[in-house]
Amino acid sequence: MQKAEGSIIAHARELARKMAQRDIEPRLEALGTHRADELVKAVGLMKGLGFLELQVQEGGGIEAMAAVIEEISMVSPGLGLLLASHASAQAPLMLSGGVRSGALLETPGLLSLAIREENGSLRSWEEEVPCTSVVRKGGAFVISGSKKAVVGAGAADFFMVFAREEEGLCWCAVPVKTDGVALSPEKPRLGLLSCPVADVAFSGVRIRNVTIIPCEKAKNGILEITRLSDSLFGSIALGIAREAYKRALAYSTERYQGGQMICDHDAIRMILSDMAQEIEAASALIRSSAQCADRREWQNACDLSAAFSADAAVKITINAVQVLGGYGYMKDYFVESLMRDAKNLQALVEPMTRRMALAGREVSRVRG
Amino acid sequence: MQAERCQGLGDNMGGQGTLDPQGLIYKLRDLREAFPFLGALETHAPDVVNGLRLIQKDARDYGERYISPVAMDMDRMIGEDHSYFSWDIVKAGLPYRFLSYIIPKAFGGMGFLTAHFAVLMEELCSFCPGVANIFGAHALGLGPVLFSFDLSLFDRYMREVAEEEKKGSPVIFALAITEPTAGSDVEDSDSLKTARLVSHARRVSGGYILNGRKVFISNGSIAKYIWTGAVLDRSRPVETGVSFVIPSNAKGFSVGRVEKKMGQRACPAAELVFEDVFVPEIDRVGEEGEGERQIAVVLGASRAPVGAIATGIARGAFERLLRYVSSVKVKGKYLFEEQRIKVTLVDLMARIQLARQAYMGAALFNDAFGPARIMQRPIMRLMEKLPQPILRFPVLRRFVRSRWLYRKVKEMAARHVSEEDIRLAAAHSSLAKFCSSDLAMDVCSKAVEIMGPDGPLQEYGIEKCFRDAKLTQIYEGTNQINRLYVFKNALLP
Repeated sequence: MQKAEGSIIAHARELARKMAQRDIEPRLEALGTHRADELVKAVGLMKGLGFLELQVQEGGGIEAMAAVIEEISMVSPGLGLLLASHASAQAPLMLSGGVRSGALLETPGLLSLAIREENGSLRSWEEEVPCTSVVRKGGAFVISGSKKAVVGAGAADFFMVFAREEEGLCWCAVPVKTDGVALSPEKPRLGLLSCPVADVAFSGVRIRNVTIIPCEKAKNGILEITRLSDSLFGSIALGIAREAYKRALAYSTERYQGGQMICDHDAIRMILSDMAQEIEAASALIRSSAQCADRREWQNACDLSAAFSADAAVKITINAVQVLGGYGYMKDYFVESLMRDAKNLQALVEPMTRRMALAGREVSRVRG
Repeated sequence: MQAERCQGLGDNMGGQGTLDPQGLIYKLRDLREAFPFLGALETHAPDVVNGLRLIQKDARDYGERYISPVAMDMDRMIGEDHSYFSWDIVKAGLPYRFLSYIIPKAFGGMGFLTAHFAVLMEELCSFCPGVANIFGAHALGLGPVLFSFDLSLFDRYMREVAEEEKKGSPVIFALAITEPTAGSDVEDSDSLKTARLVSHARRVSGGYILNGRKVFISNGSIAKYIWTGAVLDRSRPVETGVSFVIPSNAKGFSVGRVEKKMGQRACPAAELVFEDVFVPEIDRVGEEGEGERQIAVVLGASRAPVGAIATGIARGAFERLLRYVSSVKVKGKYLFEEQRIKVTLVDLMARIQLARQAYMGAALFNDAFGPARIMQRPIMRLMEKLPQPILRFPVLRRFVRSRWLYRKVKEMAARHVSEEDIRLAAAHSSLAKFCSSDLAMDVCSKAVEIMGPDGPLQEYGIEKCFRDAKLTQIYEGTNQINRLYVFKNALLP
């Protein structure tokens, strides 16, 4: 991608749209049934277009990445999630800026962020330390522990693992094909079926390089990572919502009821206008959040874009199914799939936890 | 952080401030807890409340023994092969007589009314609404026959359902209203005038020839008999609506596609095709011109049980959530000990209680003042008292099937149930339907959300509730159209 900054976002968006419609859409059914070969092909396509490095390359950034994720998510929210997870896993490296991190950024491959542990939410790390530990042994580091609901596990080349080390906290880039790394079987779930999600166990995994960060800095780092990735997860929701809205709008101009198209019924217009309003609000919030993240200026938008967009996507997709009525409930019409994807995404994003965390910080700020 | 998961539910039971999920679940299921006004009603009509209690007990027994062990697997299997249908689960329900619930006792059934059926639906749906809907859609299919007050049809069809059920052979009904280009249109006289109808009947010697297509018909692919509506003249659909009971082995009848549904999968939804199907006159339900009214009356009654279906789904999600929050610990504390979880749980419980009051109020109104009232009139009671074999004597059977008796019962219905009450019953039912289904969707959605990344996992069963609940906002008229029915039936003069 050799375009000047400014036009690169539009260019990336256009590329993503074409790829999604031309190359991903025909593979959707196979991707939804966990066909590994199809997933490899899809990741290869994204890699070939430079999307995996878009966030860290000159002229790129979070805003461009968010645009790409949104376009891909309109066709396959699962693949959007895979890309968002990859970009989020780049965040610790971008923020720490270490030499070893820099080397990893150039490593071609898909990353997966492994933070969450059993029954822990993403944000709880602001207060807690992980159970997964790293111990020095000889010239290497040994990782032991487990991570829960690792998005992209099964497709990724590296896990970006958050762990505790005797000097503080650390980030470890663990190649998937390392002895001692074990993935749980895929658990049947509601949606986002194109993206593999699994629990990952690390049993005495030996690696050479670990980025160790002093404890306090690491905790702030976690907050920054979640803020940085907020707009990326929000853009998946936005993509889902846009597609659902597009389909509901199209159907409403085809279906007749009571002698007129259903789009001419106020009850349907009220639903459609609510959808449009929430999409515009989510879009503005995500753009603002992504721009802040690109400047490393943290504002409340950075904490809220994913939560707001995920909630909006759930509401919009539920309403899209409603507009399509019986047809919307059937698998052939895709909006039911969007509804399941939106709900699954919301569960991963944990809006309530995010809002509570933000409120906690605001209270602390006022209290001084 | 130390995260723990309890081995079972028992280790945090008892003691102040702890949650006893199983105890709470039983408490929530108790009729007096669920419907405080039934406590008052019990003092005046203990038989009614006891009847409801027994139904609840039977439904729970069936749910725990037969539905719970297979519901998730069945959902998964049908997700992979949507043509699969479990006759075993239906056959397991036969001893409980669910297929004969609304059939009058005089014709071998249980003689239950709307409120009874609603309680059955809530209970079964807390286990699996797909299975419940097999019985629900069957009752819906019987509905127009019941409200036609044509005892000849009672004697031929309802008696068969009841007798075969006793023999262990299920006879299932379906109601076919929705057409490919007309859903809610067909359910209302105003919309019907401009509906794009496909189905059409024409008079021939000795009966009718029916052509058309129906879609999304619950039980459509498994029913032995299908109630279906059509018009004789597309330019005058309200005045010429007519309906029939069609056996599934009728020449010209076929099942089209069986739908791949997001939820409520245990109950198949199918497309039905009618190509020059001959229907003898005796299988016409009611009179010519009554087709639309039959739909309005049946849906006016059945939407209250749809509210119960939604409530049952919500309660099922809530019960599963209770088990989850009382078995998962974060930072050494059970999830339910967090204030945000407590507040949310109470919010969800409040929604379930509101939904319950809406559907039970509507169901009782329908039984006391709506068309179901006729089933409690002395002539029907008298027929119940007669020993069954007597009704099979040829003379009595001819009398029961006579047009004279049919006209008399219809006249009685017109005398005892006012148009105003029919409208009000329909308004209450619509209100119960959209309130309960909207509240249920909220409950299921929130339940998934509270569980975080565990919420969408199939192993917890709550994501299924979320998928299942959505259909209740759509079938039997979308919630939008039901709001308009409430306006029409309750607010307009």
